[in-house]
Amino acid sequence: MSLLELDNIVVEFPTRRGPLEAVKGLSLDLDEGEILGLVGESGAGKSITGAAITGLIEPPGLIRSGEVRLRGARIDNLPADKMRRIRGKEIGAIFQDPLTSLNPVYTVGEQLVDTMRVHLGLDQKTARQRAIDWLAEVGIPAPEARLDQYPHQFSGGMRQRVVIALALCAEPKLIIADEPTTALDVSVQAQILSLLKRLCRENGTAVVLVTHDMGVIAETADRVAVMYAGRLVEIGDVKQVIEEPLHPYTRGLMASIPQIGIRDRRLTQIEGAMPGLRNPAPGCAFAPRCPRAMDHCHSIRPAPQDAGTGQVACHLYGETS
Amino acid sequence: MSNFMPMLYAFWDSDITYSFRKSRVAVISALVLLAMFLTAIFAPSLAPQDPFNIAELDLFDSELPPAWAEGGSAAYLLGTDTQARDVLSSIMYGMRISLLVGFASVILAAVMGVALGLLGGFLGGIVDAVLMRIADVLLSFPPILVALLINGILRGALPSSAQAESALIVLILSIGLTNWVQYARTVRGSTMVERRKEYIEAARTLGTGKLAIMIKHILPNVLGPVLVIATINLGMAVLTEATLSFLGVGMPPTQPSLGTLIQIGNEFLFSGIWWVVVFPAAALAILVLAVNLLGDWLRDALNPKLR
Amino acid sequence: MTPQITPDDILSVQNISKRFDVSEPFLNRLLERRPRRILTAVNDISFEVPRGKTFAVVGESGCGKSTVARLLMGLHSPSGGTIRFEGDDITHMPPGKPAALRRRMQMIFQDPYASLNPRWRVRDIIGEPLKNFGICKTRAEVTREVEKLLSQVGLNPADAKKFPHEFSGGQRQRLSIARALTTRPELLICDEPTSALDVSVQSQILNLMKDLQDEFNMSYIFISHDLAVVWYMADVLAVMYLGKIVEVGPKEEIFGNPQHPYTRLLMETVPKLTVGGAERAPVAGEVPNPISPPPGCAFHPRCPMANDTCRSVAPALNLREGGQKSACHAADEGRLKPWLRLAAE
Repeated sequence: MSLLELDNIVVEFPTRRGPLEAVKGLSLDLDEGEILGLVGESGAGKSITGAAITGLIEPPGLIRSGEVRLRGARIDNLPADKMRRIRGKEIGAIFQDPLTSLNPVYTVGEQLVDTMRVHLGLDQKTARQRAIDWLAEVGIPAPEARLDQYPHQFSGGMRQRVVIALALCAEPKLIIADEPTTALDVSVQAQILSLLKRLCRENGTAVVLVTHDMGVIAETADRVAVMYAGRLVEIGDVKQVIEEPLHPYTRGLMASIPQIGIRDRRLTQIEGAMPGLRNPAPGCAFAPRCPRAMDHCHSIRPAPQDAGTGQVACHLYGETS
Repeated sequence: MSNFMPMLYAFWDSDITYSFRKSRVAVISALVLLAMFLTAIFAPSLAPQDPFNIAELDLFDSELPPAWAEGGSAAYLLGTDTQARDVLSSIMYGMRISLLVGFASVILAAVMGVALGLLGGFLGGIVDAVLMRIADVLLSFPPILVALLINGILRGALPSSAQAESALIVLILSIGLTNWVQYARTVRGSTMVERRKEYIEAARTLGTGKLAIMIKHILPNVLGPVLVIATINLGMAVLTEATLSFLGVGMPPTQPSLGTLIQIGNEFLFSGIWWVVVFPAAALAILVLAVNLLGDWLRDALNPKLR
Repeated sequence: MTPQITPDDILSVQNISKRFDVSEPFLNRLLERRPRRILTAVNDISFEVPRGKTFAVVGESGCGKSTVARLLMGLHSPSGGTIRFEGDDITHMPPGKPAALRRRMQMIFQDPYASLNPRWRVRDIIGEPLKNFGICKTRAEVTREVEKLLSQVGLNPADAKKFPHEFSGGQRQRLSIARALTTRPELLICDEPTSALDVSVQSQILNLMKDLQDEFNMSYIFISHDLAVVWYMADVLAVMYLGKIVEVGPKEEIFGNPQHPYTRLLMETVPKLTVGGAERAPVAGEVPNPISPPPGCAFHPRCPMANDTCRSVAPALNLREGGQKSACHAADEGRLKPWLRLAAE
C-alpha cells in the first residue's frame, strides 16, 4: 500500500462566471521514503496539488471530487481539527519564502519546541534538547545560542534550514516542499537540496517536491510527475523522464533548457503559451502547441497509460496511436 | 463612439458593479443619497415653500405640529417653527448647504492632500519631512478643534459686516484645511511604494521629467484609496459643518444648514415643539449614515485582497 | 592597471564605485550612539563592452550587478570612476540626458509585472520614448511605429490598445523589449530579463533577443545569476562577488578553465540535467553582509584554498593563461588545481 494516494482529484475554484478547475482528474501515488518531483510551469496546478494534499486550499476553492488517502485512510474530507493534527505530525510542509514561513515574533527555539510538544508530547526539557539537536543536524553553527534568536536574525539560507528542521522535527512520514529553493541563491540551493535529500533518506521521509526547475528534480528526486494545464501528462523514473522523455511537452521543456557546453545557435522553443483555466478545449490541452499533434488529439483527451517507467497521457503511445 | 455600448456593458458587468448590485446596503444607501442629492439641487422647485422669503410666511401658521398629529396641516408636512417656516422646506434648503459645504470641503481637502502627498512621497528629503511634521501636528488635535481654530482665525481676519456672506467660504476652507492630512498620508505612502517600481525607473531612463512622472505615472496608480477616503470623509465633513453651525460659528440662521436648524430648534426641544429639531437631526443622521455605509462598501469592493 | 580601451568598445567603465548610506535616521543614531553604516555595492570595477557582442555579468544576490546596470543608465550616480559611451563621458549624467547619447542605450528590467505602468495602455507605454525623443511627432506616426515594433517582437499589433495585465509574463517582457527598441539603441542593458519567466517562455525570449541582436547589430550587457543562460547568450563575461569583479574574460575560457574559486563554485552549483552522477559536495557558507565585508579577499571565509595572504590582502585582477583575468591569490601563487571539465554533450 502506498503512503500517499491521490485518486482522480479535481480542485475547483468557484467564480461568479462559473467554476474554474485548477486541477483536473489527477491521480498519483507515493511510496514510503520516496522523493517524487512534481514539475510544471506557472499555472500548471502543481502548487494547488501540494495544497490539496495538506488540506490548505484557500476557500472558496475546494476538492470537488476524488480522494486523498494517507496510508489508505481518506484525509481530504476530515474536519478541520483532525486535519490540523495530521498536518505537522504526519505531513510536514516547506514553503518557498523562508521569511514568511516562520513566525517573526517567536524565537526559533520556541517554534521548534512548541511543535514537538504538541505533536510528540515531549516535555519542555526534552523538546529543547531535541531542538538543539535538530538545529545542529541542519547545519546551523552554535545551535544553543541560536535557539533563542528570532527569524530575522538568520540569513535566507539559514532560515530555510530552520524551516526544514521545523518540518522534520515532528517526524512526519511525508513532506510537501513547495519550491523550497527558488528564493535562494544558487550556491545555497545546492546546500539546501543536499540537506533535504540526506535527512529524508536517513529518516525514511517521503517528499513531494513541487518545483518548476528541472535541474532541482534531476538532483533530488526518484520519480517525477509532469503537469500541464491542471493534468498529469507524464510520470516515471527521473532518469527516464529527463533523459528520454515520452510526452512531447516534456520533450519540448527539456530541450528548451539552456545547458552549459551545448553550442546550438538557437534554443528549442515551444510556441505559444499554456492555456488558461477558463473554457478548456476538448481534447489534449497541449495539442495546439504540439509538433506531433494528430487530428484526434484536438478532440479526444488522452488518458494516462502505462509507458516507459510510469505513465504518459498522449495519443502517441498506447492503443489509440 | 462605437465603443460606447460595449464599454457600458462591460461596466455593468464588471466586478465592481456586480458587487454593488449584490449588496443591498450599498444600493439602498446610494438611492437614499441620490434622493437627498436631487432634493438639494432642485430644492427651489421641490420645496413647498421658500422659508427664507418673508413674504411667503404666514405667522398664523407658526408652531404647527406635523401633518399626522392633531392640529397639523397637510400644507406643512413636518410642521412649522416659531416663525412659521415649514420644517420640510427648511430641511431641503438646509440639506443644500450641508451637501455643498461637504462636497466642496472634501474636494479641497482631496486636491490639497493628494498634491502634497505626491510631492512629499516623490521628492522625499526635507520636503517630505516638513510636510509630515505639519501633518503630525494637525493630527494630534481633534479635528473639530482644528476646524474651530481655522474658522476663528479666518473670521477674525474679516470685518464683521462681511462675516455673514462669507460664512460659506470660511466653513469650506476650515473643514478642507483640516482634513487634507489623511489623503496626504495615504498618497504619500503609495507614492513611496510606486516610486521604487521598475516602470518608474524605465520612465526616468526614457527621459521623462520629474513632474511628468509624478502626474502621469504615479498619480493614476495612487488614486485608488482616495475615492474611499473621500466618501467616508464626506460624512465627517457634513458632521463637522453641522457641529460648527450648532456651536454658532457656522452658517448663520439666514442661510441655515442642517446644523444651524438643529441649533435653532434645540432651544425649543423641551417646550413641546419637538418637530423643529427632531426632523433636521434625523435628516442629518440619515445623510451621514448613508454616506458612511456607501463608503464602507466601496472600501471593501475596491480592496484587492478581498476579491 | 590601465584598461585596454579599443575603438571597438562601445562602452568603457573605469574604476567605478557606488556607496550607499544605509545609516539609521539621524536622531536614532544620536540617541543610540550608532556609527554610520555605508554599503559599498560596487567596489572599483572596470570593464569594456565590445561592439556587437554580449557582455554578461554574473553573480548572486548582493554582488552589485543590478547596481552596475543602474549606474550605467544614470539611475544612480557613481561615487567614483568614469563611464564612457562611445568615448563620451556620461559618468554623472542624469538618466535620459543628454538625449542624443542616452537614446542609444536602453534598459530592460527583471520584473515583467512591475516594469510596465499598469494604468497605461500599451500604445502609450511604447509611445512614451517615441514622444520624449521626438522620434514621432503626430499620433498617427506613433500608432504606426508602435504597431511595427509589436510585430517585431512577435506580438499582435492590434494589442496596442490593451493594458499590461491582459498579457502574460513572457509577453510583457516582449513589450519591454519593444519599448527599448523604440530609439534603435546600440546598447541594450538587460537586468535578469528572463529570471521571472518559465523555462519554455525563457527560451522564446532568449531566441528573440539573439535574433534582434543580429538584425540590429546591438551590443548587450546581460545580467544574470543563471550560468546556463549566460553560457547561451554571452561572448564575454564578468563574475562579480560582493561588489568586485573576481573573474572576467571570454566565455569559452572561463567556462573551460575557471580561474577563481567562486567561479568554480558557481559552475559546480548549476544543477545538471543528468541523473546519477557523483553527488556534488557543495561549498558551505553564504554571501556575507555587504555592509561589513571580510578583510582581504571577500571570498576567503568560503574558500577551500584560503591562506593568510587571502585573509589580509585583497587580490588584484591578473591575466591568466587562457586569456581571462581573475583576482585570486591562489591563482597568482599557482595553488589553483587544474579544473576537471564538466561532462557536456
